[in-house]
Amino acid sequence: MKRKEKRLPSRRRRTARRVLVAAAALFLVNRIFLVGLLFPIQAVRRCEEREDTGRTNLVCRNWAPEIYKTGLVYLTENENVTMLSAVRLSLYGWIEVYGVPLDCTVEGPIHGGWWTLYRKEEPSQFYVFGRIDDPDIDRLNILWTIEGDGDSDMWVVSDSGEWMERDGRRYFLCSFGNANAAAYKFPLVVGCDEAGKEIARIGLEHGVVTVS
Amino acid sequence: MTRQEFLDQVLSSLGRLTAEERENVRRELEEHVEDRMEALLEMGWDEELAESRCLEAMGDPAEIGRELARQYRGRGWLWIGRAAVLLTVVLCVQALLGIGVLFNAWDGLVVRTLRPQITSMLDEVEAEAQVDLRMDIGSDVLRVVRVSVGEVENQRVAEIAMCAYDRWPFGIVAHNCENWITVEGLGDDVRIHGGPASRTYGAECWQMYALPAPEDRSVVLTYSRYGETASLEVPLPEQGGTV
Repeated sequence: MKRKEKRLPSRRRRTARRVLVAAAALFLVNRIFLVGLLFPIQAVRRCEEREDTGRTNLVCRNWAPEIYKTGLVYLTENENVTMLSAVRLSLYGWIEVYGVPLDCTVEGPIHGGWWTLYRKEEPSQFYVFGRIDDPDIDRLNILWTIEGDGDSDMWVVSDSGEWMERDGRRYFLCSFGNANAAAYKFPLVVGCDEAGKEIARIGLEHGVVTVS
Repeated sequence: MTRQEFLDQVLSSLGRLTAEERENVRRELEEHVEDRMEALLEMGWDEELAESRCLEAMGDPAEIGRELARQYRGRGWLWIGRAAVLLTVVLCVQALLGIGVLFNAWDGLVVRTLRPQITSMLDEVEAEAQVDLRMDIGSDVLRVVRVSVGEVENQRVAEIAMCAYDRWPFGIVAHNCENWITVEGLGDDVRIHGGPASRTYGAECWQMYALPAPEDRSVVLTYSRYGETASLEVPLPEQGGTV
């Protein structure tokens, strides 16, 4: 009886087969099990889906070990939305921690929001972010009250030199750590011109405390 | 030269091969020799003589080794293959760990194709109709499955039971969709929370309420978020349960 001719597998052929299997597994696990994301930006895309913001573009990305050792904070934008997302690497691949979208469709000099993560009852980072639409604004004073034994007011200054620009729009992202972020109340952003004169003042009503 | 010696000489000329590749080559050569020997044995040859003749006919083992080694060039391919296997294993483990997430996919499938059960919060139902009205909202789809008119807390209201799911069959639905949908005639005094509304990554279901005037034949659902707006007219059922 004549034995069936077998083709000896070459390295390239075998690798191609393995890569195909891995790609199929990746697709299934990503789309059906919703885990196994290989890149952090994919987790940001997941935040976009969860918040229904549509596709956003990267403004800046910061490593945030204060939140998680592998934590990354993304500031992304499109014409209508500015979004702060936090993602981290876990056993399931890259996963989203939270996404805070900021509606920028309503006209205004400044659009601002805040986000903080309160993890294991430990102090965490407090983020203030947003978009500056008034070209005359050159400096931002970010103020808030810390509740506790005798409330105290705090503020930081963010100059235009620290801001980021994308598609002609200016964005800011400030973070304050090592404090009990859950006690930060009534954040307020004051926009000033070059001479230091107040132009706009907005309360950061849109914010989220994430407890992990 | 024995068969074993022949094989050893071929394999020693192959260079750096993995154990699996080495085994594949050995098996391939042995099968080749077996095939040839079988033909000679059928012709009545002595086994020892047949083997020696076969090995002679195959040629120089060092040359065969060099020829076969060409097939196994490029350690890069080997590493890419190993990385692919590792990735597949990791993904399988992640899928096993995340098996519970399949319920989200199931929820999305039910809401998309079947009629999800959303309990009515009305105290008394005057008219009810099962409908299937859909509207695109952002990257999701809003589906109205039931419209009822009845009484709640002695007030005549229209109850609209609806769900949202992602356009992609296994996708994620935006959370708190109901915050972005308004019903014409909705009053704060009849906003009813809780009940059977369900929220998963795959689908969200909830009811909304409107205060229709007796002459109203429909209510309008409006979606507005991040500059995008969409509207859907929902006909109200008449007494007896027809739309």
